[in-house]
Amino acid sequence: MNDRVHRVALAGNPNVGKTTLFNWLTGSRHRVANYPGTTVETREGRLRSAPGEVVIVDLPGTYAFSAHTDEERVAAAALIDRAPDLVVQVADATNLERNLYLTMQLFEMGLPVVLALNMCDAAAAHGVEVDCAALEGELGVPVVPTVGHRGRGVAELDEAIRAALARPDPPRGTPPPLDAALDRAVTSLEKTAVRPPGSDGAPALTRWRALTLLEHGAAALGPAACDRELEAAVERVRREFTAETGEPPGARIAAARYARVAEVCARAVRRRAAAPLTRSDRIDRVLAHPVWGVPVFLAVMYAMFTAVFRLGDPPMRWLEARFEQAATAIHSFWPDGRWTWLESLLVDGVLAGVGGVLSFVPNILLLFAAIAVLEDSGYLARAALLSDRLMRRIGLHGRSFIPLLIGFGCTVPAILATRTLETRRDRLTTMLILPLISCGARLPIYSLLIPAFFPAPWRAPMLFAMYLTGIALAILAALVLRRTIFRGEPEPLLLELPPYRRPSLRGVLTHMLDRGWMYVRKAGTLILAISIALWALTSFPRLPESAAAGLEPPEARAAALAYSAAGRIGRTLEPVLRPMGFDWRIGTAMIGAFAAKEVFVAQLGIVFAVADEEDATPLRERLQAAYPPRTGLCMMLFMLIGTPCMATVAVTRRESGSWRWPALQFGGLTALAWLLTTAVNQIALRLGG
Amino acid sequence: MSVERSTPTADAVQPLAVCAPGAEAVMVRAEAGCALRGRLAAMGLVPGVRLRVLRRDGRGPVVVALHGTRLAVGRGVAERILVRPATL
Repeated sequence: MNDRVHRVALAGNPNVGKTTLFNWLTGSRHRVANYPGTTVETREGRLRSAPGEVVIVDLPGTYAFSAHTDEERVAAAALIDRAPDLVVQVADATNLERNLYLTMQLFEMGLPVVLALNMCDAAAAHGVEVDCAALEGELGVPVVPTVGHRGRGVAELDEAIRAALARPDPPRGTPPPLDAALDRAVTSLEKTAVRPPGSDGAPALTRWRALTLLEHGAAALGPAACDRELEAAVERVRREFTAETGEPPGARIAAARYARVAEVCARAVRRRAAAPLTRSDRIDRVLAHPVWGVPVFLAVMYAMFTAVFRLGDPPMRWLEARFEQAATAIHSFWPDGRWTWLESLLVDGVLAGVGGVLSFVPNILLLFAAIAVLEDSGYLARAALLSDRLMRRIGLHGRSFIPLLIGFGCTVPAILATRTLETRRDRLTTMLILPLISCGARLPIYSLLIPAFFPAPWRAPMLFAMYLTGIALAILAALVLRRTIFRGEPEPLLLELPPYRRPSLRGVLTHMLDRGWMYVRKAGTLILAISIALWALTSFPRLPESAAAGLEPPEARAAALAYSAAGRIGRTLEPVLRPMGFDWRIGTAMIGAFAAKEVFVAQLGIVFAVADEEDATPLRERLQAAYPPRTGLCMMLFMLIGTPCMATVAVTRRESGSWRWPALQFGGLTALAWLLTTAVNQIALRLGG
Repeated sequence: MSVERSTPTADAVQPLAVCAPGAEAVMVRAEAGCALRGRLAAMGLVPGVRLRVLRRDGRGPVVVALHGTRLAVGRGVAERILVRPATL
C-alpha cells in the first residue's frame, strides 16, 4: 500500500448487518457526520488493522442509487462525487438476488468492489447454499463470507480490503450487458448530453450518469444539475426508446440487471425447492395481524412512551437539582451587590441555558435506545405496517406514528424521531405539525388555568378537550400541508419486513450515544444561544435603583420585568393581543415562555407579583380577579397552538437543514393561534361569556 | 373472498391485490410510473419474479415472500402489480 490514506465505502441494502460489520472493522471509535441539508448520517472510522492508511465510510442502507430518498441521494453522491478507492458491499446471503441488484449498479459505476457475503449461517438454515468460489468467478471480484453478529470472517474481510487496495488496479466487476437498443440510447446520451465540452471525467462515470438519466429521467440528477437543454435531450432519447421498443427504458435496464443476477445465481446459489415458513413468519401471524397485532402494538407503544418519560424523569430531576446547587453556590460566593448583572448572566442565563439543553438529554437517550431496539429487532417495520392504514388517511406514513406519540411527552425528541421517516416530504410534514400535540410542558399551564377559571365538574372534560383540540388541529394541518406545499401522490407503502433478530447491546448503545451527542453538539449550542438572548430580553434594561426602593421583593421583580425589554415588547404588542382578550401582562409572560412552555406559569407569577412560587392558589386568585373565564380558555388555546418553544425551533432548524421550516412552523402556528383564539374570544364575548 | 378469483385458470393475469394467501405467483408487469417501477425493481419486484402471498388483510397491505425476504406492499401498489399463477 502506498502512504496515501485510502477511502473505503461500505454500501448495501438496509437490514443486512452493515453497521455491525462496520463496528467490527473499525473498533468502537468513529464519528458521525450529517450530510448537508439532510438528516442522513454517514459514519466514518478507521480500519482497525491499518488506522493510518484506511478510512471506512458507512453509507446509509439503500436498495438502489436512484435519488428517490435522501438516503439514496447521499449514498450515490458519496460514491460518485467522492469516488472511494474501494467499495465493500455487504450482501445478505439469504436474499442474494436483490442484493446483487445493487452490486450490478456498483459495477455500472465502474467502482472496485469487495463483496462481504453476510448472514451465511442464516442462509444455510433457510436452505440456501452459496458457493463462494463460483460467485467470485462469476462476479470477478473478491467474495468473503461473514457472520457479522458473531464477528466471523471479519479478519478475512479486513485482509481482502487491504489486498484489494494494495493492487494497482483493484478488481472491478463487469456491468450487466445491455441489449442493442439500450446500448444505443446510453451511448447517444453519453455523447450529446453528459459530457460538456472540455471536461474529462472518468469515462465509466459518465456512462453511469447516462444510464441513470436514461433510467430515471433528468430529475435523477437533482434540480441543481439540470438545465433545460439536457432535460430536453434526455426526454427525447427516452421517448424515442419507448417508441422503438414498446417499453420504458427504466424497465429494460432493471430487467438487464436482473437477467445478469439470475445468471450469476444459477451458477452460484443452490436453494432447497420450497422455502419453508420461517420462525419470523410464524411470529408475524400474530404480530403483523391487523387485529391480533393491535394489542401488542399498543402495549409496545405504551411501554416505549413510559420508558422514555418515566425512566427519564429521575435523571432529569437529578440534573435540575445539580444545576440549582450550582446556582446557589455561585450566589453564596458572589460578593454582595457587586456585578449583579454578571451574576445574573451566569445563573439565569448560562447556567439555566445549559441546564435547559441537558434536561432533554435523558429523554433523547432513552428514546433512541428504544427506537434502536425496535428497529434492530425488526418490530419497527411491523409497527409501521400496522399504523400505516390510520396514518395514510391523513396523508402520512405509518412511521409518523412514533414521532407523534412521543410528541405527547416532548416535542424535541419527537422531532428528532422523524429521522425514521424515509422521504423528506413525510419528515417535514410531521415536524411542522408536531407542536400541535400537547407536550408535557403544556400540562402545568392547563393545570394552573383550568382550576382558576372553571368549576370542578368541567375540569376533566376541559383538559381532555385541550388534548383533542391539538390532535384535531394536527390532523387538519397535515391534510392542508398535503394539499398545498407538500402536494403530490402519497408515498406508496413498500416496506421490507426483516426477520426478527435479537438486538445487540453494543448496537443499541452506539446508536443512543451518537444521537445524544449529535443533539448536544448541533441543537444544544443553538438552544443555549437563544436562552441567553431571552435572559437578556427579560433582564435589560434594568430597573433603576431609585424605582425599586421601598418595594417588596415580589413587587420589585414584577416592576423589573415590566421595565425590561420583554415587558416593553409586551406593551407594544398590546394592540395585537387585545382581540384575543390578552393584555401586556399575558404578552410578557408569553415572551418568557418561548424558553419553554411551562415557563409561562412562572412568568405569570412574576408579572402578578406572587410571592409564593410553590403554591398556585394565590396566582389563580389574582388571575381570576384580572380576567374572565373566556380569557383563561383563550390563554390555553394560544399556548397550545402558537409560539412553539425555542428548543422546538432549534431542533427543527437542525433537522430540516434550513431556517425556512422553523420560520414557517413558528409563523404559521402563531398566526393560526391568533386567528382561532381571536375567534373564540369574540364569539364568547358576543355570547356574554 | 371469492374462490373463482383466487384460483384462476392457467395463465389468467390478475392484480396481486386479489391473490389469496398461500398463492404462488409470477409477476407479469407493474402498471406504474417510472419512479414507482424503479422502487419496485430495487426491492426485487420485477417481471418474472416468483412470489408467494403470505397475508392479505381486507383492504390493507399485502405481504409477499420473494427471494427469502418479506415485503409489505400497500393496497394501492398491489392493485397495479399484475401476476399470473405460478406453475409448479
